[in-house]
Formats: sequence, structure tokens, C-alpha cells
Amino acid sequence: MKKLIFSIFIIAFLLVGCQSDKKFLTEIPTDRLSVDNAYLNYAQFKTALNDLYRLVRLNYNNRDNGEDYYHFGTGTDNLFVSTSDNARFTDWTLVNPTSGTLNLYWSNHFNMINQANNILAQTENPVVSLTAAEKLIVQAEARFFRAYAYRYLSFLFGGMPILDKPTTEPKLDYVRNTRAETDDFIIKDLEFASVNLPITTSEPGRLVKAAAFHYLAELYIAQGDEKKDASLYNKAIEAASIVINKQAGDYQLMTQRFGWRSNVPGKNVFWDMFQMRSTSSVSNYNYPSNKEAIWVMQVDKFLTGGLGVNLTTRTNQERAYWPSFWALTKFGYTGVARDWMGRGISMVRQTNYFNFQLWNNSGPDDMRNSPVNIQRVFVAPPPLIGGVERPGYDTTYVTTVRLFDGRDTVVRLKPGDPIKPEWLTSRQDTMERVFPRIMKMGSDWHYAADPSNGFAQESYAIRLAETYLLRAEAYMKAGNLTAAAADINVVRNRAGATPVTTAQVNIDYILDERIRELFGEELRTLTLTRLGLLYDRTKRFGYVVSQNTVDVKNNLMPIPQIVIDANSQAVFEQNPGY
Amino acid sequence: MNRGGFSWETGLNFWINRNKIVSLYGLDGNGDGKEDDDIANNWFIGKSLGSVYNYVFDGIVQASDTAFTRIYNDRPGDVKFKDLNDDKKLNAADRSIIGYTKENYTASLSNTFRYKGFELYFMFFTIQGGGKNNWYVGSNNYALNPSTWYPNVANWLDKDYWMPENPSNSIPKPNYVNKYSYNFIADRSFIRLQDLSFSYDFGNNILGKTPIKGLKAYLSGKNLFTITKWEGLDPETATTYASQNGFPVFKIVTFGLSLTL
Repeated sequence: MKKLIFSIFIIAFLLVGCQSDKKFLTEIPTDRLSVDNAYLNYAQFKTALNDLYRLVRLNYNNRDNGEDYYHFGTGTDNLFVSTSDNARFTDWTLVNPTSGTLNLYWSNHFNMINQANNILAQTENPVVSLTAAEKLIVQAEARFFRAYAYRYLSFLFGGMPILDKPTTEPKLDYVRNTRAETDDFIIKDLEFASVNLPITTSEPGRLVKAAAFHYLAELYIAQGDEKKDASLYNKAIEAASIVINKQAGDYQLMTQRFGWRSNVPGKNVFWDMFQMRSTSSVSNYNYPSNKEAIWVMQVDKFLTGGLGVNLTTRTNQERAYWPSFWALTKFGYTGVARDWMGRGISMVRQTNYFNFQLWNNSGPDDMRNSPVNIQRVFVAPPPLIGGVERPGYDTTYVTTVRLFDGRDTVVRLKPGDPIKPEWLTSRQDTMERVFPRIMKMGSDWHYAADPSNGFAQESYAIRLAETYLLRAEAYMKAGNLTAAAADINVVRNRAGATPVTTAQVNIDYILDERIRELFGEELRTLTLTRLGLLYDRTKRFGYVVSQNTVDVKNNLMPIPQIVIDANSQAVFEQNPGY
Repeated sequence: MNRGGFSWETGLNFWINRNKIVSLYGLDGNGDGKEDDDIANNWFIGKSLGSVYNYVFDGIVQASDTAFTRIYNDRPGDVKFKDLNDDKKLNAADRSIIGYTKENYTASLSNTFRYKGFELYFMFFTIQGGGKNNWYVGSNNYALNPSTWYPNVANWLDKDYWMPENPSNSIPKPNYVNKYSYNFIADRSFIRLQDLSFSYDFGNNILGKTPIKGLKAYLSGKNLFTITKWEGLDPETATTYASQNGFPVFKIVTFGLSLTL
């Protein structure tokens, strides 16, 4: 009897224990982190989102490698690799499905998509403790990033397979959706984000409504082009207008000097916009009175983790874009970089189209082309006496230069005397050492006066000036040239440039204006591939090697071969021509 | 062999191994009735492990190859690859298995000679590649593509680079951009003198009246030399020049006295 009772008791106990098989069998690992147990509350979700911010930042500062600037327009109408004619994204015949750089950025953006999908799926998991409001914000940010990644891929590579769920098992049969389908998917995400993101944030760099409306305007234009549906241009105008009319936050173009260096004499407001932080103040990118910044890539040299994994001591804009005039060993230069020189190594150089024709077309009063913002005259430096720079010290530098016609001539310069172009006759002189220096890509002072590593500067991912130029494009495509000219002129008036006339407005003008305003900020290659104009613009305005090698197929980048190889159970279509 | 105080022992080890992938996942996505290869992992049905799947090196583009440069958009000094399907385009379809990282065979030969108190021992070790499957290859960008060192700048190795005045057919121009990500394979067969030792045992005749029971002097070396065509630090591990985490094989020479009291 005793035995029987005991047995019944045991059986009952087991039955109770197995009440819900599923619950009983669900493993909850406590020794490791996964999506299921790492993202449970709002703070943890924010940590997950922070990694998406990091991935976007990699588009601006990644490795110490010139190829990383490819999406800023290398090999197109604004930039090229000047150290060699034999370089990817300058010689377009070298761009093919095996390019490691394309592969890297492809992976980064699919990584972003998967990460966003993980976050989105987990927000619906009943175990998480998010308030309804928190859940919407997390979803809005995650969907913004998913849209951001798909935007990057769709513009550069064309239609992509649409993934709206986390990938949990191997899948070898991805099939590309069309670009229109992809863009529709992006638009849905951005529409959700534009409703649910906050209007303002106390954390610089965090996403706000205006950012979603800005990209939404751009995507409506892209979709209008793709589907040949003019009504979408009106939707683009609406989305941009929400930002411009301050319905999504207090944004306006900066017209007055501002920021922590606003008292530096002789400069102008365009210069103020690109000043990195002092050791004690915030940067002008994040300055509270900067009403033009919508989304700023955050960096901080003085914060642990404030820089990247591959670039740990600085950001690289200055090094990449600036000429290496400091490395001259003539005209008084000693081959050593000084604080005010920066230490550019010319990984990329502006095209002659940018340096000359673009600004000639703009007229003489354009602030963005003033010597404050583009240094075109290089002078003999003050001498170093005992390793210290001595301004005002009188000396004469004697240099023998070989002129174009082969004659040698002796040049005598005092500190401050300009170096004349006719003395710069080697390829290295003009391609790497001395070409116009675009001041917004660097700084005239450095932390600890160290030109090599004393530089960490944010980047504008979205600035209101671009919203105006997007709306101008939408107006133009909707047939309203007057309104398009008016928008372009808002940007031009701030720069003190001659207004554009209605008759002048066309896509070329808008693309030109975009370089004048957004050089080094916009992902130029994405703009050109979005419009299908990379070939056309490069053929007309690119560096000569790019002009000679660019092909119509380059209007889209090649799908990495490694993706096609791995997708063995379905054909992952390569873009035509590759 | 043992004759008049002289003895000789020899040993030969020979090892050969062949393998073949019979089946992977049982997938046939292209519907041709044959199981699909896994190109991404370099696994091919019916082939050995360690396959190298890439373009086929066919010399260097010369200035006189104007038809080639026109069709394939290459320039003199670039690597010339075979257009296997002859569709006048060089793309992923022109790749094939160009070799295997697996060895063809491995062998070692050891010898011991003894004469009176002297003993000489040496052992050769070899891994051989080649054959019609092109076994035992390794990627050697550093030796075969000069611009790998630092693009456009360095030609640090004394190689037969293609130059306009030196129409080499083996090494591309110093600023070649490896646009198809070719991995510049090279044979890494080698023969190495892995062990050598020479010793003398003083024996009881000499030590007879001393308190020492045994005394042996020896000189031995490991990895004293390697015969290989591989240009780099170590063919066995496919370590190239300028390798960040590889080392050459260490040569070790030991001299010693072994004393028994």
C-alpha cells in the first residue's frame, strides 16, 4: 500500500512537472548572451541599437584605407585616387565582383539588416519588459536602420532580397526582388519611423523624425523615377516640407556665425559648421544652436570607445582628403607636418571639374569657394628655428625647380610668398602635394598640436541644406521649376552665391549644387547610382582615367561573387555587364 | 647491414592518401540531376578536399596582345587569364579547380651509420605535390605579385617583373592591381634534412681506469636545410615573406657531452 501511494505520488509529480511540455523543454541559457536573453528591457534594447549606430558610422570612418572613400564619389565627377592611375574606383575596369571593399560594405549593411530584424522580432517577444512607448521607439529606430541599409544596397547594387525576419538557419536560395519592391519596403520602414521617432533628442546623434522624413523624400523621388510615377514627387515634396517647415523640429539653415570659434576673425558661417570640438566644449556639429544638423555621426577622441576599432586614435577625413603639401622638401617646407598643416596624404583628390569649372559656374561670390573654405594658394611657411616655428622671422628659401620646358630656374621665397603653379611640374607635385585644400575636411589646429592623430571630427549624415536640394529635385521632376529654383536659392543665398534662374534648373545643376554644398558629406556614389547617372556624369566630368574606363554597367556596382557562389540553390542575379 | 664493425640501418616511410567528396547536402538547386558543389567552401562533388577554385593563370599580357587587351580590357603587364568558356568575357564562369592544398605524398628516409664508437644519423623528410591534379599548392601573393607588398611603391624582391622593356611572362608589372583576386598559387613541395646527428661514444677502453662510466659527445642539428621552389619562409605551412604571424622553420644545432658517473 505504502508502495502504491508512493508510486502514485511520483507519477502525479511527474505529470505536474510535465504540465506544459513546451515550457518544460525550453532551454533558457544562463551562461551566454543571445537575442532572447540579452534584450529584455529598454536599456538593453538601446545597447543593441547602439551597434547599428556603430555600423552606420563605419561608412564615414572605417579603416585607414583610401578605398573606403569609394562611396563618397571616388572615380566619379568629384573625386579620384590621385596616387596612381591604376587604382580601383578610378580605373573602372578594376571594379568587378571580386572587389574586397564592395564585399565589406555589402556585409556591413546586411549585418545591419539582420541586427535590426533581430531587434524587431525580440520586441514582440512576450518576455521583454518595454512600455508601449518604448517599444515604438525601439521599433522605429530599428526600422530606420533597416531602411538605411536597404537604401544603401538598393541605390548602389539595385534590387535586393527582402528580409523582414531574423535569419535563423542556413538559406542558400535567396532571390533578388526588384528595385521598386525594395524601395517600397524601405518606404514602409521610413514611414513607420517618421511617425514614431521623437522630434528632438537630448543625445546628439540619436535619430529624430526629421531624419526619417529626409530619407523618405529621397526614397519617394527614387521610387518616382523607378516607377515613372509623378505623384510620388509630390509625396517627396510633402515629406521634405515637413522638415523645412519646422513641423518635425526646429531646423533652419545657419546664416550667422555660431559655435565655439565664432569669434575667430575672417571666417564665415560655412566654416563654422565644420569645427571639431575643443577639449572643453562640444563640437560645432553638435552645438545646441546648430539648427541645420539633422543627423550627425558621433565621434569623440576623449571618450573610451569614442572612435573606431580600426581607427583608434583619430578620424580619417583630413588624412584622406587633404594634400600632402607638408611633405614638400622645397620652398621652405621640411617634409614634416606642423599643427596648422594637418597631415593629409591625399588618398583621394578632387577632380579638376570640382576645382575649377564647378565654381566658375557658380559665380565669384560663393562663400563655399572663398579662401576660408577652399585654400587655393600655398605659401612658403615660417621657418623652424631650433624646431620651433618662428612667424615673422626673415629668411630666404632657395629652390631650384625644373620648369615644363625643361629649363631649370632658381626660386627665392620669403616666408609668406606664394608658390606659383608653374614651379609644380612633377606628377607628385600636383596630384599629391599641392592641390586645393578643402578646409571642411580637416582642422587648422590639432589636439596636443599633433597633426597626425590630434584630429577627430564628426560627419553630417543629414544636413538641412540637403533637404532643400532634395525638395528642389522633387519640384523639378514634378514640373515646378520656379519652386525648384527657389529651394536651390535658399542654399545659395546662405552662401552669398548668385541666385540660379528658373531656366538654369536641371538635374546637372542640382547635382553640381550638391557637390558645392555637400562635398565629402553626401555619399555621392549613392546619389549618382540612384539616378543612374554615374556613367554620364563621370564621362563628362570625371578624372581622365575614370572618363576613359567608365562603362554604362557602372551605374550599378557588381554583386560580390562570394554572395553568388554561396547562394547555390537559386540564382542570385549579377548586375548586367559584370 | 653489419660488416666489420661497420653497420648501416635504413628506414623508409611512405604515405599517400586520396579522398573524394561523395555527397554534401543532397541539394540540386539548378535541377541538372547532379548534386550541387559548395563553391563558397571549395567543396566539389567527386573531388578531393582542399581544392583551389580560381582563374587559370596564362602568363602576362604583352604589348603585342592587342586583341586580348581590347576584348578583356586588360593592359600590358596584367596577368592574363584563360577565358575557359570563350565567351569573350572574364567572369566567375571562367574559374576552375587549379590545384589542391593537399599533398600528393609524404615520405621520410632515415639512415644510421655506426663504425666503432662513431654514429651518424640523418633523416630526410619530404612532402611532394605536383601531378596532374597539381597537388600541394599554396597562395603566394608576396612572391608572385609584387604590388602586394605595398601598391605602386615597392619592388623589393629581385624578380622578373613585367616592364615595357622586360616582357616577362611570369610576374606581372610592379603596380598590378589584382582585380580578379587571383591567389597566385605556387608549388610548395620540399625536401628537408630534418635531423642530423653525429656522436662518438668513448667506450670502456678509453674510460677504463677513470671513475667515469660512460661518455658520449654529440653534435646534432634539426632542419639544417630545405630544398624547395617555394619562395617564402616555410613551404610546409605556406608561410610567405612578410608574413605577420608566421616564422621560418627554426634551425637548431646542439652540441653536447653526455656523462655517466
